[in-house]
Amino acid sequence: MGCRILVHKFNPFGWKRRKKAVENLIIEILEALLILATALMAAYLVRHYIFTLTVAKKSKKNGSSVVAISSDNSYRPKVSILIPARNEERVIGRILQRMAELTYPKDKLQVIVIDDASTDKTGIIAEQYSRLYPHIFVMRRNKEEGGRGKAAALNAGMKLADGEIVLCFDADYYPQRDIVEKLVKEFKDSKVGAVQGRVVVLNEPQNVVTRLVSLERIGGYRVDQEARDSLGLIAQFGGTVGGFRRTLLESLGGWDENILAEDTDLTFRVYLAGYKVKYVGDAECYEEAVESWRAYWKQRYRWAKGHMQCAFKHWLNVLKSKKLGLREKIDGLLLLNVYFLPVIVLFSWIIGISLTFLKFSHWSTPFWATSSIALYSSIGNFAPFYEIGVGAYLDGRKRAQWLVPLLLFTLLYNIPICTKALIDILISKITRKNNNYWEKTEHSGNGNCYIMNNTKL
Amino acid sequence: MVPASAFTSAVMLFFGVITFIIIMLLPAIVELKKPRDAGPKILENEEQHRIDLLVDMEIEAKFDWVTVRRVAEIIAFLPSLEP
Repeated sequence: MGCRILVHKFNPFGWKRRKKAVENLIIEILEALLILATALMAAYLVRHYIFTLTVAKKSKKNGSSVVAISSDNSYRPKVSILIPARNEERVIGRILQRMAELTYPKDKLQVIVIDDASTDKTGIIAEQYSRLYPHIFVMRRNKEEGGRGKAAALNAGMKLADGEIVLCFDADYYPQRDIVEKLVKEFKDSKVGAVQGRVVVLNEPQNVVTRLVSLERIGGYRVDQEARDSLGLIAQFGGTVGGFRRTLLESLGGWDENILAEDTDLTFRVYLAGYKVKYVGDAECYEEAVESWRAYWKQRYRWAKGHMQCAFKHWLNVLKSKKLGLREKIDGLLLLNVYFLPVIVLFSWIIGISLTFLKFSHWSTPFWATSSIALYSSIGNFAPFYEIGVGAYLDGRKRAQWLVPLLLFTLLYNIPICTKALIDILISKITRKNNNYWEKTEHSGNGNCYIMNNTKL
Repeated sequence: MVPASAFTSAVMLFFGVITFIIIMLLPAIVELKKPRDAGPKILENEEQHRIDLLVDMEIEAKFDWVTVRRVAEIIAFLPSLEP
């Protein structure tokens, strides 16, 4: 018996059989993973097409890309506007001038600039405006208190805010003069816990990065947000050009200072509390987009990491929630996991290449198989680009559509960004070290040349 | 039928991919070289504000500052009527 086992152990045919069995098992696992990755990408693909078709149909029905609104002068609650600013001397004057020009009654308006331990003239400029306009207040945070991120600054600003509605604007933003009326009117509906307006890139003509960011914004707001709102899905609060019902914000405990995407986190907390976020497409506001690939990396890395933090924090709550319908749950999970998608694309490429090398021996086969996977991962995910193209068309930006193919490069650029974010999150989870550092986006003020304002200072 | 050699397949694949990329990116390159896009979307209702500002600036530009200064000098020259 022992002799037979020994023979079997050293039987070269048995060893080869086992090697083949292991190889087959690996191939089967890889194939299953590839199918899963493909299914996930297909889910996003379908989602983007649904969004695009919804908005296209809606625009056709309305006969115009802009939905007309009727202004209601009877609802004028007290509004507090928070503007967190850290080293924003180049842009702070622009938004404060606009705050002075807002058409909302000034006696019902409180603008709070939170100077978050700036080392430049941000605080001085803000105080000059505060002296000129009594509805503008400045909260100066020193080095010990400040510099801990936007969420911490907003929480500090909330202590001063006494409005029924709390709106937020970033310092590099430049809103319409009647934006407060447009945003606030939605709170008449008691189910609306938060509102979000539309962001338009101001410094778009500057270079190829700003032009591509602008296209992404068009897709994100003109199509994505509008479709989610129309379909009753999860419209997202984007952290700026929007706001909350004050009582709700207080009951939720304000902004979570441990999450880098504090806006997405609050969006989900609002929905889980049984309220909704209303997207107001005609409440428009300019923003200054990042101007270099390096700045793009920093900003997207923060977004990706923050979004992934939210995914880990909320996915189970979303699944379990009794306040969300099935469609909201599906959309919520897709939204939470959206920054995993570039990682999944990379993952599917690696699996595809591995499979072709494991399965075939002829040299040209891997080429074809790899190309098909590469094409699927890019063209297959072309839906967002299609979405952006339709958004640009609806905005009357037919020539801007010509740049849509270049978005392939931003997709490729997002792959290492999101992969690094995921690796960093996993490391911080394993080591239990919180390595969240709020890296602020620098604003040059170059967008000033594209607007005409009568800045007093 | 003569089967294509591995080399021919590789060359065809290479040029195929290059041609595809060029065709796909050509409009974008043209737009980047000679931008004809109208630029950022003008915020709703902002156009009227722009017009108002332009009108204000035009009025200010047309304002006869020379006459105003002369009148101011005359007023300054006049004796004060206050007790």
